[in-house]
Amino acid sequence: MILDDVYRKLPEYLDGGLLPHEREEIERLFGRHPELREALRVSLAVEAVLRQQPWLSPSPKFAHATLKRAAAELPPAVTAWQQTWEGIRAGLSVGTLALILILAHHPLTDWGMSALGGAGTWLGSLTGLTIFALHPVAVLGLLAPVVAGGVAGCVLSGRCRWSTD
Amino acid sequence: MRPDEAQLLWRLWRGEARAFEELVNLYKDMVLNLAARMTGRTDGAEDIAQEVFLRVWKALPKFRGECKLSTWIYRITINLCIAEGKSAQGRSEFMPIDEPAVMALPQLRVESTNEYAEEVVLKERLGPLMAHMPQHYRTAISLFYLKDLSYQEISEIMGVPMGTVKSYLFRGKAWLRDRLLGRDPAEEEIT
Repeated sequence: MILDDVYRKLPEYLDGGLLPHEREEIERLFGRHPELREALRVSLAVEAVLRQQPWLSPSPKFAHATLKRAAAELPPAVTAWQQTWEGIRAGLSVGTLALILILAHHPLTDWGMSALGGAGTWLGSLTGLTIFALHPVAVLGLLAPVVAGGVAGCVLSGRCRWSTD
Repeated sequence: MRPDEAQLLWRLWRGEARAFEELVNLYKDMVLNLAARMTGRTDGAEDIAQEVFLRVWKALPKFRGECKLSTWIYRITINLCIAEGKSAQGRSEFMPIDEPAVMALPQLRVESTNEYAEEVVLKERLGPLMAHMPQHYRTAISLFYLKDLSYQEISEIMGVPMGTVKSYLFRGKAWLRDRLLGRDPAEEEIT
């Protein structure tokens, strides 16, 4: 047996993690090797010192100083609310844009739907897309009366129909 | 996750500054003591603890609650201490273990019969030795001797199985003992 193995197993011996026959063998070796007994004594002392490490307390101003530093150094954290809203906003933008473009490019025949066609053409332009991407809510707010007016005009006049051509 | 922890996390996600203050007050002691033990120094531990909380605040939106909030904060502390240790070594703030100044620290006298004197020597040598201990052993020992941390929690923080945590602990303590005894752990045959 290698003495180094016994040294390695000492912490497990102290922790009660060895099998009974391993314990017996190590205890037998303690009687024959004073250096092992010394290692056991030092192991116990190390264990005691590790358990007695002083518990530090932060200075009374620690929390205040940390909050102050956070406020000074960091921009306000992007909250989960903001992240969720960004996700909804992106989904809403893409969905509405797709809907308007589909409606606008569908071969509609009625005058009311030409308003949708105009909105779609405008949104299809680079400027329209850029503005929409940056401020979808504002753009939707502007487009909503146009779309609503177009649809209402169509329905009320009874001339609104899908082209079958 | 405990209900109070989940509630705190929810308030943090909403960006409540008051919740961040509560978080700092809740974990400041543990973070400070873990930092001091990981680095083997008490001076500078408060700066590291402060940096930990700044990182926590910054990273909060990315935290999705896959583990306990405390586990996540300890991981950040450990990673920062490891990085700090490396950069301190780069700046030569840490002395190599065979540096004369480290070797000149009081040696443990094998024949010593004065237990109190031995304890004083042990305490004096422990910090510098901890700072030079292999990183995994140091992390396991630092966490284990903090208050109320179980093997399970340590294994979650370190991201290794519980058996590995125990092995790191045993090996780490053996490493400390061998250095305190000035013993070269080269293989010796029992005769």
